[in-house]
Amino acid sequence: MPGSVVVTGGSRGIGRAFVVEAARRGHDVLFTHRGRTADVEATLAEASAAAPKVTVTPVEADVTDAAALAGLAEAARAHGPVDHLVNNAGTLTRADLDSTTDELWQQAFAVHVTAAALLARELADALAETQGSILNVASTGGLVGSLHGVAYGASKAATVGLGRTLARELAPRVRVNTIAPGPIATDMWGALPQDSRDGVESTTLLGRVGDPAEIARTGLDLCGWTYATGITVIADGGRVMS
Amino acid sequence: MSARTVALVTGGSRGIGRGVVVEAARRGHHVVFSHRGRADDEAATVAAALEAAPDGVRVEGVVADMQTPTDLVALADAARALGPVEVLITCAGVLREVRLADFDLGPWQESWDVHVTAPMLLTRELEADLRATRGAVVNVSSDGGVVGSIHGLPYGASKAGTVGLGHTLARELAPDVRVNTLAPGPIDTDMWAAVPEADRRMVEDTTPLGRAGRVDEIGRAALDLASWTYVTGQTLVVNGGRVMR
Repeated sequence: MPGSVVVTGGSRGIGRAFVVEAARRGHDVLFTHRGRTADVEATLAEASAAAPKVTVTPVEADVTDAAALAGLAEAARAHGPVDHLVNNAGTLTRADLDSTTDELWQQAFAVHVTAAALLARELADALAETQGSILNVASTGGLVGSLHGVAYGASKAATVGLGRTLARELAPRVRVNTIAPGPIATDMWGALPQDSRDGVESTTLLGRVGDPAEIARTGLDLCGWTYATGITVIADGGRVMS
Repeated sequence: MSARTVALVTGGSRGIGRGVVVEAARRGHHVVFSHRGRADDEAATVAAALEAAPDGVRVEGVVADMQTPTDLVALADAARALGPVEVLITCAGVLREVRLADFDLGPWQESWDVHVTAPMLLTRELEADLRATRGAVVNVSSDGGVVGSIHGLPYGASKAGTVGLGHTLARELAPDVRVNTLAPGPIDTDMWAAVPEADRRMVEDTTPLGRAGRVDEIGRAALDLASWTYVTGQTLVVNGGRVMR
C-alpha cells in the first residue's frame, strides 16, 4: 500500500487534478480547501470515479494560518505513512507595482512561500520515513518574470529558491522538486480576455493551453524520480526553454 | 496499450541505454535498439527487457555505427518495420578524455558525430513517423553539457550541442513532436566504475542524495519525460542534486 499524498489548494484547478491523479495511482489523499462545498464535492466525486477504493479527505484550512497547517499535518500523520507533499495552493491578484498593496504582497509570500516552508517542517520527519518527496508548484512567471505583477512573480521565484534550499537540507531522505506550469486551462485562465488567451496560445509551441491533468501527471511522475532533487520542471508547451 | 508503438533507443546494449530499453519494454512498447556488435551485451539487454515486458512485446538489437549515416537509415527502417514509431531516445555516447593542450580533431569530431549529428539524422529519418504518432524525442546529454564537464572539451562541448539540438528541434517539430533533453549526472555504469575511486567518493560526498544514480532511475525518467504531453524544449538535470536548475 502506498502512503498518502497531501495536496494544498485541492478543490479546484491544478490542485483538484493532483488529488484525482494521486488517487488514481492508489494513494489516499488529504487536501485543503477554503470551504467551497460544491468544489469539494466535485473533487471528491472525480477522485472517487477514478479510484473508488482510496480514501480522500478534505480538510478546510487557510494555508496562511500556521495552526491550520499544523492540524493538516497532524491529520496526515494520524492517517498513516505520508509519501508526498504537494504545495499547490496559490493566490493571484493581478496588480502593477503602484497598486501592489502591502497586504497583497504579504498574502502572496504567505501562500507561495511561508505555507510551503511550514508544511515542509511539519511533515519532514514523516516524509523521511517513507523516503518521500515534496513538490512545490511554482510558475514560469517565477522563472522569467511574471505578467501578473511583482507580488506573484517574486513570490513564485521564492518558491523555487525554497525548494532548492529544502532539497539540500532534507537530503538524502526527502527529495524536493518544483514544477513550473505555464498557462493552464483553469478558472483563472478562463477569466482572461479572449484576445489575451489567443495571444498566448499562438506563441506557445504546442499551440494550446495545458490541461490540469497534464500538470498533475508530470508532477507526480517527478515525485517518483528517486535520483532527482532540487530541480525545476517547466511544463508550459514550450514557451520558456530551460 | 492496445496497438503497440515502437521505441527506438540508440546505445541500448549497456548502461543507461539498457535501462531505457528495459523500461520502454516494461511499458509495452516494441523496442529496437542499436549497439556496436557485442553479442553478449545485446542478448543480456533483450533478456532483461523481455522479462520486464508484457506478453507480445518485441525487442530487437540492431548493429549500427552512429558515425555511418546508412546505418542510421537502416536502424530507422528496422524500427518502422515493427510498427508506428512513437519514441526516439538517443543514449549512444562516447567519452574521450582529451585536455585542451592535447587537442586532436579525431575525438572532437567523433564526439560531435555521436552526440549531435546522429540524433539529428535519426530525427530527420523518423520525422514523419513521429509526427504521425504525435510522438517524442528524448536526447540523453549530461550534466557536464549544462554546467561544463570535467571530462574534457570533446565531451563537454558536444553534450552542450545535444542541448541546443533539442531546443531547436522542439521549435521545428512543434506542435506534433515533443523534444526534450535528459542530463544525468554520475550513473552506476561501467563508465562510472572506470573512474578512480577517490574521484567517485568525492562526487558522492558532494551529491545531496549521496550516491551515483542507477540506470533504472534514468530509464524511468526518460520514458516519463517522453510521455509528458505539455512539456517540450526542456533539459532536465537528474543528478542527485549536484546541479539544481
